[in-house]
Amino acid sequence: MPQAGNRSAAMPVRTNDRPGRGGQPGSVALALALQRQAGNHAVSGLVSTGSAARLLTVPVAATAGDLSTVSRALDSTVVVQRAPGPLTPAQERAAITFNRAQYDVNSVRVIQVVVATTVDGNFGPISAQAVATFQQAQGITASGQVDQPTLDAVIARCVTTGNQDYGIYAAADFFAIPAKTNALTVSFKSAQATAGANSFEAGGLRVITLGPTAMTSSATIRNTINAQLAVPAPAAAAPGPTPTLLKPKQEKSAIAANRAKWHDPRSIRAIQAFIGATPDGVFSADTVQRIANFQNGAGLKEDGVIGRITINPIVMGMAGAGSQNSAIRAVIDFYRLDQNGLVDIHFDTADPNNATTTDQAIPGNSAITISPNAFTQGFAGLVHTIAHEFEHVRQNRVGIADLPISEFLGERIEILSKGMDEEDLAGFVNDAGRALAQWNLMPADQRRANFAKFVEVRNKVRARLAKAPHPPSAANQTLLTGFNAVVKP
Amino acid sequence: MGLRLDLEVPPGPLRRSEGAEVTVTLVNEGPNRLLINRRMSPGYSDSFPREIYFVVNADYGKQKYDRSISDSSDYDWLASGDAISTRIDLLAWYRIKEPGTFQLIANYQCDEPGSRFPQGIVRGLTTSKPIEITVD
Repeated sequence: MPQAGNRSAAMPVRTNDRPGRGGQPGSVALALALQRQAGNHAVSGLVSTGSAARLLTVPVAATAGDLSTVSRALDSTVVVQRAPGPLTPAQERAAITFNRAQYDVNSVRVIQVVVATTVDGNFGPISAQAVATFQQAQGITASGQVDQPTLDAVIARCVTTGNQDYGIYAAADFFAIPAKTNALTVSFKSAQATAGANSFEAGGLRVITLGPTAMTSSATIRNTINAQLAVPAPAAAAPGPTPTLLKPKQEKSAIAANRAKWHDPRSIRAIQAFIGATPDGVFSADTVQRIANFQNGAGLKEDGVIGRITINPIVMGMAGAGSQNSAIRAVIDFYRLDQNGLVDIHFDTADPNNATTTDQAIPGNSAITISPNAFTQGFAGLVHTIAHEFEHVRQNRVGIADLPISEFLGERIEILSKGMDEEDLAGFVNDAGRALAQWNLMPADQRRANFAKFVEVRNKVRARLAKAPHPPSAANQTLLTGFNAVVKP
Repeated sequence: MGLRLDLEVPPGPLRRSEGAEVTVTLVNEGPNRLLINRRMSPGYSDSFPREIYFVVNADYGKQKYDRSISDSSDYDWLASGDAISTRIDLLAWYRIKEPGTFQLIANYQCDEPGSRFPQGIVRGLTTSKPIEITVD
C-alpha cells in the first residue's frame, strides 16, 4: 500500500518563530503543515513535545504563504532534527524505502508495536531508527530494514506475547503469499498439533489454521501456508443449465450493478457457490441468471442483483450450510467495512461472546472472532455485530482503549443502524441497555465530550420504543427512564 | 455465610503463548439456596456485562467483547453446599505486559448496574482470597 512521504535531514537549526496564519507561531504552523503533508512521525513527535519552534526554520515569506508555498519551502530549506538511533541518514533512507516497498500498513503497525515506537502504520525515520535499535538488541546487523532475520525476531516477539496472528500477517505480507485471495482466513490455533490445517467452505474457499510448530520463523509460516494453499480444494459439482429468467438487457444491467457493489473475489466466489454457479469470482451472465433463479425461489424480485434484500437469505443460507466465514466475508464486502487495521476475522465456535476483538496493542491492529451466538441473532443482528467489531478495529487503530466508551460507540453503531437493516425489538433493546450501561460507566469528561452522540442514541431509542407495542413492558419503561435520567455532566 | 469464591491457577509460571486457564468456583456455603447468575462470564471491573472480573497488580491489555445482557435463563438457584465453576484463559483476557510475580483476586457479581436481574438475587461482590501468579 503506498504511504505518505516522510522527511528528515541532517541537523537542527534556529527558527524565527514568527506568527503564521491563524495565530500560530510560524514554525508551529509549518510543522503542522509538514505533518499534514508527510504524515511524519518525527514532526508529529516534535510538535507534540513543543520543540518544533527550536527545530524548524523557513524563509519568512513562506510562513505567510499558502500550503504549496510552505511545501516548496519544506522541500528546499526546512531542517528537521533527525530521529534518534544508530542509522546514518543514508541507511535511514534505505530502510524507509525497503520497508515501504516490502510491507503494507498493517504489517508496519505489527513491526512498530514490536520495536516499541509510535504506532501509526507509516514507516518513517523514527520507525527506521527504532527497528535498528531493536536489531542491535537482538544481535542483528542494524540496517533498519525488516529483512527475514529481523522479521523472525519480530515473529518470535509476537509468539511470546501471544500475538501469533499478527506475526502470521506480517510473514504472509513479506513473502507476498496470496492468502487474501485464496483463503477466507489464516489464523493461529494454539491447540493444533499439526503445523497447518485446511478446512473448506463452499466454492473451495479455505480456512487455514496454523499451530505452534508453524510459528518458529517466517520461513516456517510461509512454508506452512503455502503447503495448505497447495492442497487441492474439493471438486465442485458441475453446474446445471443456466436459467433464462433475465432478458439480455436485464442481464447486462445486473452484471454491472453487482460488479459495482462487490469487490472481494472471495465473497463473489462464496455467492456463486451458494447459488450453484461456477465459483470463479467474476459476475457473469450465468451468475446473474442464477441469482435471479435464487430470487425466484425465495419469492424475491428477480433482477439478478444482490442488494439489501437478497443478501439476507444468501448470507444466512451460507451460514446455515456451514460457510460462516464466507457469510462474514460477504457482509464485510457488501457493507464496505473498513479493513484498515484488521489482520484477521474468522468464525470461532470457541468464542463464548457474540464477538470479540483483540489487539496486539492500542494503538495497533486488531483481530476479530465471530461466534455462533452472532449468527443466532439473525441477519440484521449479525451485520450489526460485525459492524460493532469493526468500530473496535477503528478505535484500536486510533488509540481508543477505554472499554466503556469503546463499547458505547460500538452500540451506537448498532442502534443508529445507518445503512443497515434494523434489528428486531428484542435485539434493539439489548443494544440500548448495553449502551446505557456503558455510558454510565464512562468518566465525566468522556460523557461531556460525547454527549451529542448520546443524545443521538437517546433520540433513536425514544423513537423506536415509541413504535413498540403499548403499553411498554416494564423492562422497556425502565430502559427509557434510564435514558431520560441522563443529563450532561 | 453465603457465597464463597475459589480461585485456582495451574502450577508453574503462566505463559500467554500456551494458554493460562484459571478455574473460578462459586460455592454456596450457607444453609439456604441462593439466587445467582450461572453464566459466570469474564470481563473487567469497567466492562459490561460480566459476572467475573479479576484484580491484578500488573499493567495489562484488555479485549473488547460483545455479549448480550443476561436473560432469565441465566439466573438460577444454587443449593446449599453446591458449587459451579468456570475456566477462563486469564492471559487472553488480562494480557499482562511484562513478566513478573503478581497478586490475583477474582470477583463475582450478579447484580451489576444495567443488568436485568430478578428480585432476590445475591447482592454485591464475592471476592476470592488473593493468590500469587508468576507470568513468564
